[in-house]
Amino acid sequence: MMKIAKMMLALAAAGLAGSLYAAPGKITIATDATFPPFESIDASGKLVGYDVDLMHAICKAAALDCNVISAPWDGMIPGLMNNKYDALISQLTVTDARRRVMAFSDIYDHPVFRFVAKKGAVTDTSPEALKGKVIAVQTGTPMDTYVTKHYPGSTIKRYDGGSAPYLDLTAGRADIFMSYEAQIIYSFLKKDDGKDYQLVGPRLTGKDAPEFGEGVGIAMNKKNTALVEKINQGLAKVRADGDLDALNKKYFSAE
Amino acid sequence: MSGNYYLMVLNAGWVSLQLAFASLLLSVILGLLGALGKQSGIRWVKAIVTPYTLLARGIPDLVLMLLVFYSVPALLNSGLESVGLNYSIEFSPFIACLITLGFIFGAYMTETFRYALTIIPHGEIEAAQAFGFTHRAIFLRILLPQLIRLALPGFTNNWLVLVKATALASLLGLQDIMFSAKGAAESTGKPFTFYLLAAGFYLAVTLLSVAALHRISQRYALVVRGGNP
Repeated sequence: MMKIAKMMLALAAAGLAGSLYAAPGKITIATDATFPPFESIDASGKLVGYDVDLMHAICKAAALDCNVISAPWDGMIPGLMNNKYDALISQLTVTDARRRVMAFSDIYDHPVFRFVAKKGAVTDTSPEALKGKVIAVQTGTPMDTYVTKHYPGSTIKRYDGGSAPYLDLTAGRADIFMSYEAQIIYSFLKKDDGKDYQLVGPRLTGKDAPEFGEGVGIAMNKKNTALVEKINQGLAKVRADGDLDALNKKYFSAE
Repeated sequence: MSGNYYLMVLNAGWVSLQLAFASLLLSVILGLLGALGKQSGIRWVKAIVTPYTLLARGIPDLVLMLLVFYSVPALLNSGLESVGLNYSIEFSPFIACLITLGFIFGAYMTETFRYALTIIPHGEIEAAQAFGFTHRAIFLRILLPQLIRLALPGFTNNWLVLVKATALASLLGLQDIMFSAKGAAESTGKPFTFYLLAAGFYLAVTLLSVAALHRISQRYALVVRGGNP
């Protein structure tokens, strides 16, 4: 009995040591690693993707000691408010509503939003044509805000994950799905499951609808103006050096 | 390529087990204190334990976990700030889950142990007192062996539910088996494979636990089965 108790204590101690946050001076940046090619984990559990590479490049350029960690999407913004994280990089669209509660870096990318559907099933993506159809979106995203506002006649199905909508799409439980174009191509169309599907409708950006925001930025706590400045300096440097272009080429050149 | 993802997910199972064992330890300590407190008949102890078990059993684990992780540190910090201390308290996901699960399952353990204690005839304690046993000896030699035997079925249930409840920790960002399974599912686009793997992990822990606890129960049942040795 004592042995078991001692073992448990040792386990608890190991858990404590392993779970403590990074040392002070280090900046903790959270990302939701379930959104390839922007952020995901590789087979060794390491964070990879466009946003992750960019964040490391910015930290290097700004001489910041950064620790990029994987965190759940739902807890990110509360975590930023409570100083659990110093910054978030997760293809966060900059919108007025978000600007009210957090600070953003300069815009680093203008993502394209797009519908995907079975080949030949949908030709017209106007609200009238999609009346009565089931539109899938990830909840709490600009896509969610957009279809909720502009497609009142359609049934909107919301998912908390990036890949669950594809399952419903292929199972026929959803007619059409809206997401980031790059995510659709990378996570679905390039895979076996997506071979009967295609991108439909216009390529949409923040210029087409305010719901899509101004672009994507790195979110930070409003009180932390020093960090906002440093990150912006780093971003400017990465842009000037051509590293940002190189990243865009590396991840999105196939399109 | 996905072969390595299996390994990565199973490695995260170790984190789940650490959390489960640490929470179990805390819940057993709270459970023993609670059960003895309730049985002791001391009024102020009862006045603490009774609301505790009600509260802990009445709030869903997820709600309490979110409160402990997000709200309690914020509350503590604003409290510290108001008295002029600039000291920031922060729980890691592991600690937040350990506190929550230990707190909740401590209440279940309290009820399990208390029930077992009520079955042990009071005469045995009186007899031991008459023989001059110390409190410590009474607990270790008379109560505990019987308590283990009587509480084991309830304890087994609590443990199995506790192991499964650790999966909630993934919602706070603890890199446990569920969190890794989700990450692997999204990275590879094969959710069924990795969620099934996680399910298999929990099932394996359950089977091993049931087998181990069955052996312990047989060991402690000897006392009653064998009669007077």
